[in-house]
Amino acid sequence: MIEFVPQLLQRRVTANTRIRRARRLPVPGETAGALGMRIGAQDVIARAYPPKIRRALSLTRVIGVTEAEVPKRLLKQVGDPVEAREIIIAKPINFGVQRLVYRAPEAGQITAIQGSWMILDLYGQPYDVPALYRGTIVAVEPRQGGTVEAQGALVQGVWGSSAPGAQAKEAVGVIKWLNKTSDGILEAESIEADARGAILVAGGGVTAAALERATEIQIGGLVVGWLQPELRARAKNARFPVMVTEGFGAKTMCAPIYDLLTALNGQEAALNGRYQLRGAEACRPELFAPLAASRMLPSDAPAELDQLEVAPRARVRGLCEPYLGWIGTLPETFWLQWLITDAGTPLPATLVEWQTVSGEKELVPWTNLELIG
Amino acid sequence: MAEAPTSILFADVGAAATKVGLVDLVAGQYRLLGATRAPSSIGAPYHDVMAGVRQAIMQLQALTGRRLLDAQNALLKPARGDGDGADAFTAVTSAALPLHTVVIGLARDFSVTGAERAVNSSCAVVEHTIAVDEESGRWGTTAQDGRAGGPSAAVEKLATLRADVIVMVGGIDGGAVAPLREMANIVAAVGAAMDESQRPLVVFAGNQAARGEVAERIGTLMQVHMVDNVLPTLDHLNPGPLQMELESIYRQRQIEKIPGFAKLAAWTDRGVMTSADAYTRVAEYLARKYQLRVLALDLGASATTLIHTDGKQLRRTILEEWSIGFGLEALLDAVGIENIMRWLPASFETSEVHAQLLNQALYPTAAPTRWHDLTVLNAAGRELLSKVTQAWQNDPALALMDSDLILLSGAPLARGGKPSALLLMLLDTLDVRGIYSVAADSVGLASALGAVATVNPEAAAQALESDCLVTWGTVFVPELAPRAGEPVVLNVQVQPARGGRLEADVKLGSLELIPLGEGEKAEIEIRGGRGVRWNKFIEGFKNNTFKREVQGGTAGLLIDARGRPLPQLDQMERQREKMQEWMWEAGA
Repeated sequence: MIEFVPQLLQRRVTANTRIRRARRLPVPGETAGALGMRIGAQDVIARAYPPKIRRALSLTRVIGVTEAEVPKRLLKQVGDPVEAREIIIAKPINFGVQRLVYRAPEAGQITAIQGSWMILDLYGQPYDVPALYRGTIVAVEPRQGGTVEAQGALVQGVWGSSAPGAQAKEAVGVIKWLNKTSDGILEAESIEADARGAILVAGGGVTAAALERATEIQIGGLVVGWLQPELRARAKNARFPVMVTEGFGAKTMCAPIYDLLTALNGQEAALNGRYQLRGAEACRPELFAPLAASRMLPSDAPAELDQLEVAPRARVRGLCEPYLGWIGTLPETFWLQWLITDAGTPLPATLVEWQTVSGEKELVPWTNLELIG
Repeated sequence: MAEAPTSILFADVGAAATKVGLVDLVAGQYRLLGATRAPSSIGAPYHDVMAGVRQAIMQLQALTGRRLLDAQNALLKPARGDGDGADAFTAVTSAALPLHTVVIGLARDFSVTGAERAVNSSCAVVEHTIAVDEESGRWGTTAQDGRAGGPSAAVEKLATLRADVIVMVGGIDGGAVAPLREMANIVAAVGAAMDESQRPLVVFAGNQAARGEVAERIGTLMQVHMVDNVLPTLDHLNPGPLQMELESIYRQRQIEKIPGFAKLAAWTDRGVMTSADAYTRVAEYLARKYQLRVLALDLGASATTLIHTDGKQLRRTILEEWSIGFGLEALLDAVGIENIMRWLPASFETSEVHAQLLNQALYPTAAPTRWHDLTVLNAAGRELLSKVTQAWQNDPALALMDSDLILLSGAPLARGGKPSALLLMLLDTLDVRGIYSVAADSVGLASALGAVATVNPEAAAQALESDCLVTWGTVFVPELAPRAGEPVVLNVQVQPARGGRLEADVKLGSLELIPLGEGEKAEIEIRGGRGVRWNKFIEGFKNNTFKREVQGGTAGLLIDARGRPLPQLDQMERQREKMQEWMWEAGA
């Protein structure tokens, strides 16, 4: 018997919690909200103006001026806006009768000139960061964004289609179950035109054809219990966010998530496909359905604990085969003991009562469990 | 001189797990009194590295019956008269995200390669490289009418990447400065176009004569660090100073950003070391003490580290993208599932293996308990090691195949991998030949003990050797060039010191595992046929017969007569059948 029981990994799947989420721009810009302001999911909290394309040009090589000559030949300076076809630099040739010029390919701004190198930013569309979580702005970071506090139902997944460093994939839409079973596979035929903008949910998984159809219809996002490994690249390339709640393979969505998502069917929710496994900014993808304002607690009321605790009868989920995705509970009185693996290695383990048809009890390594709730 | 601390509490804060251990004097010898682990607490919901450290210490208190934290959860330091507390605390970490770098240099085969080697030896990744000699034509010549191509495209990519550090290299010391001036203009232009808060730091490790001009062009915009040239002369590569500078930047920019790091650092006596540096210290210690060429591998959840040292020279590679934990998804993307399947017996189904590896990446600390699942992870480990060592195998300066000791640490051991299975994984992928020993970091604390050595080297060494390292056995890998009609290549006779005698004929293409327990010794005699060659410098070798006393281990003595490189069959099915045979033979 091992006397001290350490904490477990944990995942939030709850009908009512209060969360805070930072909403930041990838490059500095301007913030749109103020502290204490109520904000809708689609309201813009910060905006930036990143270039469509950042052009890098050697002026020396483009029109044949020496580095020393560049300042003299420039018709525009750093910070100047330029119109499409506007001349940026000109050099007389043929005894001044003609001139060699470089024109801006599109409208933009000269952001840097160093020696003979010029950086020209071609104007792009503004980049908006929506609040995504309907709630209240509780912190503002100038030029970066802010933090939103929101109350509602939260389902955290294990894998999302928005990888670290890639563009954020997020959506706000109505939750729509198309095949309301915990192991139902989402097929292309079941996605009809009214699914446009909705967050589709399927307990089992999704077919390749359904992913294509979902792109055509322009759904808002997709939540599936499982994803076939070979569909991972397609899911990543999809324009909409995809959240996987259980893992890779073909099984059924676990009961707590299935039950909560079923209860949320038809409600508006935000889906954030971002996932990062390592570091201080590690996060899992999540679906958040805000509470109606009338049911919200005042913001100074004590919040629900934002972390789960190891306790008797605590609900746990298996993290690897043969019990991957199974839901169980810790016994009323539990302790850690040594489990000898097939390889002969002792691992600290506890007895878990699986919520399966047979309700069997099994000794499971402590590292193979997470708290869920 | 101050007396060295006798009781030392130490921690290893990884990306997935936090481990702690306690070393103290027991009957005049330093011993590891206990070791525990808890999930790391850098991310949500804790955002404080200390939560995981305290959890692991509380477990250790329960295990050892010794109080290490006071009522406020502060460290009891120094040790008290009643035995509670510890005299010192040391820590290592591999939890921080790597530095993202871009390398820009003049020549791909010289300065850029040298810089890449320095980056790969540090906790950093190369996001992008620009080699001037590689681009067709001159700089900017392909950029016309605003359409960028060639060099301009390369610079545009540099401008859009969000690197932490730009490494500038090029030219030998005293060489031409003009090309570096041009490079400095590019870097300065890219920096000037970025928002001030997002500009990367620049490390210049090129021709020292160009330092002034580089500083003049870049220094007003970005922080510039000057280090010794990575290629001072054409025949001398000098990645060391650049590597040290990157490590220093990594500590300042990445490690110190870990939430709660300041509290962890305040507990320590000598600051927090990187796990890679501490593990390197352990490899160097073993190489010096036993005069061995050591190949040390750390297959961590977040990074893979390879170190080769003979105590004088050192080569290190840290692979931050691929690992058999968080990095499994990236490994699968890079190599493809088929290349992992080739290491598995035919009974394994591709989509199940693929799914299992992706699921393991989501929860790297999960420890599968079934042979089937552990074998899948070992197959991924094989592919990872074969990729990581590929560059090393082709480096003539690195006598990788002549290593005397292989030391393994990391996730496969934490997950409870079977020694003979992991031993076979090493044999399959590391082209080390001759006769060598294999040892494992059984409690996963070798790196952390490397940091303990900074406050008490004797305590670290004794705890490492008595309680941390476990010998798996001795491996025999001859060079084989058999003649047709000679199926038996080796005759092996073993006389254990405890008595008895074992004899085996090892056929070409097979393995033989001879049990000889840990701490046991035996006289072994191996007679080779005409096609068998051993390195003639091996002790105990005479007239194609090897005779010497050897030590056993958890796995035993393993004779590998498969030849090198390992035979690869054309048909995947036959290859996988062969894998099954080898696993049976090696007891994997």
